Amino acid sequence: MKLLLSLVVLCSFSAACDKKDAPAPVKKLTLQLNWKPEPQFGGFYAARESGAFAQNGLDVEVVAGGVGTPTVQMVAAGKAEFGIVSADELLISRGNGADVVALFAVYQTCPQALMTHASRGFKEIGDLFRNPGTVAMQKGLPYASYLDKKLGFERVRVVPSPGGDLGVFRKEKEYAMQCFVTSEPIAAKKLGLDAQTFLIAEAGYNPYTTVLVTRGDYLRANPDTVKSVVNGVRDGWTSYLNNPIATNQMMQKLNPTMDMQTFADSAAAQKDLIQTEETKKYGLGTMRAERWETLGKQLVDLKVVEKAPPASECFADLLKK
Amino acid sequence: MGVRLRGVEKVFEGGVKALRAIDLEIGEGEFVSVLGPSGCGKSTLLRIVAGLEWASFGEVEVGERGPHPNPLPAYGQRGHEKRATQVSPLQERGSRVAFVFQDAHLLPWRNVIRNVMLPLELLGWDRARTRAAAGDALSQVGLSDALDRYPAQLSGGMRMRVSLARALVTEPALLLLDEPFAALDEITRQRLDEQLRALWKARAMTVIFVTHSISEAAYLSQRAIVMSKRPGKVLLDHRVELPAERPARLRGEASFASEMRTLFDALERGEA
Amino acid sequence: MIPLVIIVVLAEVAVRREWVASYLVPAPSKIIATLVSSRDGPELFYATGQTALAALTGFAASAVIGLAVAIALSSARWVQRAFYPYAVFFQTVPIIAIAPLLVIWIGYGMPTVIASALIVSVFPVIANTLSGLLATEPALVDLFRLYGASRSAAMLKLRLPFALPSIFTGLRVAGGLAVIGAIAGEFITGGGLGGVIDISKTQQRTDKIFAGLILAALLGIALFAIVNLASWLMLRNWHASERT
Repeated sequence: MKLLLSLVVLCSFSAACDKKDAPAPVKKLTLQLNWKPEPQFGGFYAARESGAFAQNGLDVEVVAGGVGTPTVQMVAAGKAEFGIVSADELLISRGNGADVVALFAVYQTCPQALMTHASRGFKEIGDLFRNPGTVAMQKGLPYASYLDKKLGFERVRVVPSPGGDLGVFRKEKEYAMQCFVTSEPIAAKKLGLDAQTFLIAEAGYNPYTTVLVTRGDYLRANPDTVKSVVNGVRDGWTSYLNNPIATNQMMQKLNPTMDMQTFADSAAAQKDLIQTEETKKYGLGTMRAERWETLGKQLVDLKVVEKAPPASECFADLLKK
Repeated sequence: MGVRLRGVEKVFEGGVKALRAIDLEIGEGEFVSVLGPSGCGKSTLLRIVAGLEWASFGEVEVGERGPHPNPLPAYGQRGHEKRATQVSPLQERGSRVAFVFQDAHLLPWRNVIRNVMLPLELLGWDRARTRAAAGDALSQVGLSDALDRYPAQLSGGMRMRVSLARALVTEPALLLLDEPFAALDEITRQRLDEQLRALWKARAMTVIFVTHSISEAAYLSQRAIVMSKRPGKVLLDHRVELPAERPARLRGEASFASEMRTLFDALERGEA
Repeated sequence: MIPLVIIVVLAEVAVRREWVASYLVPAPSKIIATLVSSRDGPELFYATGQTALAALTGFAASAVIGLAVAIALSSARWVQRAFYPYAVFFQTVPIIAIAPLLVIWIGYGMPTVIASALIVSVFPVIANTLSGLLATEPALVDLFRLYGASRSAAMLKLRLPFALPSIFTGLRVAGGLAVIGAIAGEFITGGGLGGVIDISKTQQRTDKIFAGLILAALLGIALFAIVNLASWLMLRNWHASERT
């Protein structure tokens, strides 16, 4: 009897020690967002909720951000393994010596836009700057410098962006504000305001936006982990684009400033910015070297960076088809 | 300016009775001192005469009755307690009554001459007259060469002399002093006593002088009133039997000692 | 001065030796270079001028309004009890939340920045002035009563001079707060050092941010020095605080 017992104990012990069959320890990782939970991040939350991360042995915590969250600095400093930035932010950061690398670009078309009142009767983005009025932008963002160079700000008064607050927009007619086409215009329409938006991309400035990034040395040290994360992200976005409702409900609890209808409208509005001919060809989140090069040239031209880093250093396409 | 008190009593908030049934009549031009143990209500009495406090009961009259070159309105207070913030009839008599506190209480941000100018400023005199009168008062207390100094730069005795000059600048008919020299050393104190007496003689004003010091009371006044301990009432109203001329060495005379004895005995009785 | 020099030297070494990443904390030498550069220098100094103007105006308004409110509050106990709590509101309201509302009410531009500076700096003036006014020595009050002084005479010749040391204490605090309030307003309306710092934040120009912060600190110090000078001039003859 004693012998049988010790044999059983021995076997189970050796089974537990068998590394091949034992589950690997779960890696805890942080993904830092640069805004509050909104449909622009739907795929990331979906990846976590659907288990796309877990099935690869990953525990990725998606941390919400807010006004001015310094995601690129946080990733560069190692406070978060992954973060969300825009492509121009990444190029600036690399120019400052931070080794940050892009992995997955959610928005193929940049959703940055300027929103004004339809009653002004403007036809294209240039009209905003040819007629007197107030334009609220984050002047430090490269797109603002781009518009200044292309169109000139002499005729308008430029003030800081209100960070999503529609207070002044409601009150003043000759007022345009920076927005993401997926959020503020929808909120404005809900308030019954006649909002009209003009995409910056139409003026010729179109950086990849809501881009998943990591540190260069982290990527080189943990290629498999990073690849698994990107896989999970792609699965999460595929699932979210098909059916956003469940994830929207989950995000709405985290960000009650928007209601479910707005979540739904926003998710619908962003689809065409995320799924394009290129993603059909190369997969969701894909990035092309040419666009990084174009962006680099634009930033050099605007004197935002001194030298454009080679496109190959800026992004890693881990999911080549 | 005479003072009449009839049946004056004072009860403070909380029921503390400070004075009971004070009857007093002080004639014009008299120098009266008020003696008494601590807390007997002598300061309160003085403040009631000044109009800074109101009596709870009784009548207080300050001013002239009958024909007088400059009749001043008499006023009466009867009956119940009034709040101290009410307008005091003093405003009508502001130029005729003056008060000297135990501390000089000069305005520290004004120099000596401007401190003495203050009462006349408040009464609305023009600047030139004010300055002249202030300079005058200061020379009478012997401070003519300290006009530009600030209180912080003066000794205690000098500050008190400025306070005296300030009190005299309006040429008051009634001068009230509440232990003014108590904080000074003996020599300065005696000197100021002599100066005060000289000023009183020169100006024919009524003086009521509250003090702790028996020798000061004996030296200065024509009449000494001794009060009992709280609640204070008049124990002794004594005519001081000393000559009108009071040189400094009078303090060594036997007659002086005997006056002091009388006052001392009364005080002792009051303490009991 | 010596502690400052040590810190600056340490910071420089730390950044050059890469103990601290340069995009988190810029080297002091870089900050100074930015301050004197032809590209950023003029912009920074012009911005300092704008903030200085707004802060000074807000501070002056604070002084006048704070003084007036304190005088009104000191007039009667019931007035104080009824209205003082509302004055405390100015101490606790977070200006970052109020500023966007100010923009909606007043509009973009300097008036909003001045209003912001005023709101943040007025309470210390009220509190300290009131404290000084209520502390007037009772014997001096009696003295004024004796000579039939009117309320305004008592206020002008007695209470206010007596309260001057406290008033200056309040003004010393208010100066620095006015600078903070102005910059907070500028975050929302743009312009001035607040505007430059906000833009530099977006551009990841930490050297420019620090340069802006240093200029803001110097502005606060300058206001403090002005108040100290006024205090010395007015109190040197009589108040213990200025006599040593």
